Amino acid sequence: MACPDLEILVREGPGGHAAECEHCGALLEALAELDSTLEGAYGAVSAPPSLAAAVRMRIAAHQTVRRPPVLPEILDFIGWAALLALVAVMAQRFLPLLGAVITG
Amino acid sequence: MEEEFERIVREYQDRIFRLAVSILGDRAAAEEAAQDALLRIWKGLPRFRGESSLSTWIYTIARNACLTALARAGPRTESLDEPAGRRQADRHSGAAPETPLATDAEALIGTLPAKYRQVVTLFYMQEKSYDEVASMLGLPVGTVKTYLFRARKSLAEELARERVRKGGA
Repeated sequence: MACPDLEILVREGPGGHAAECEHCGALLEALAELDSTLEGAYGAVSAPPSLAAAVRMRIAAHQTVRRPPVLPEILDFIGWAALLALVAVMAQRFLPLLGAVITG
Repeated sequence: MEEEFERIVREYQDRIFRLAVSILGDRAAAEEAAQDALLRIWKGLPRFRGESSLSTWIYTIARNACLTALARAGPRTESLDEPAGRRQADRHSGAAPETPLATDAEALIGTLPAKYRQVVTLFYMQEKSYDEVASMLGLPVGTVKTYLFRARKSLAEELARERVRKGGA
């Protein structure tokens, strides 16, 4: 008699075909052992208690080293540039007059 | 946003860590990858618009963090289709301290191709939920069932052969 597929074997349980066939009986037993071993090894895996704290620390570190916002720097630059431009314009306009006054 | 992030950490840290263990096969590396993933989630949270579900978004970030960790660890010595046994054996023979996962079960799982190993380990870690495993790995549920069936069959056959060998000796 041909051995059934594993799915059928599992559905039938130890009382079905596995009771008469040594090979399938061993396979079914191995599957039960496998399930129990893997449940034992992986069933209780959870994140280490330190994980959340470590993440918070990394976030805090990230926040402190974060670059300052660039907008104030840009506004600062525009302000100084405008001031320099104003001085240049005034110099261009008034220096000739001042020179004329000095030379009489 | 802080509250939302705290809620995500509480709710997802175990699942992110398990996903990382299943992909990386190592607890220390998994913890670091899980930290990276949560940091990326924190950075991305203000831009999350809900185009996908929150869990899909979180698992995608976590998987990417694991892939980055794998890439950072150097060239891969295994493909998704090749057994990881050699890599596992190398790790256990090295000076690295053994973790609680370093059991016969891990050695057994290490003989599987990586794609099967990820599904099998997550399946047992996630209380045998096909849907959860599929969602975490970004795979269709049917694919998860197929991989799991093939992996369990292969492992059970190997165990049964081992048992017969021991019985015959």
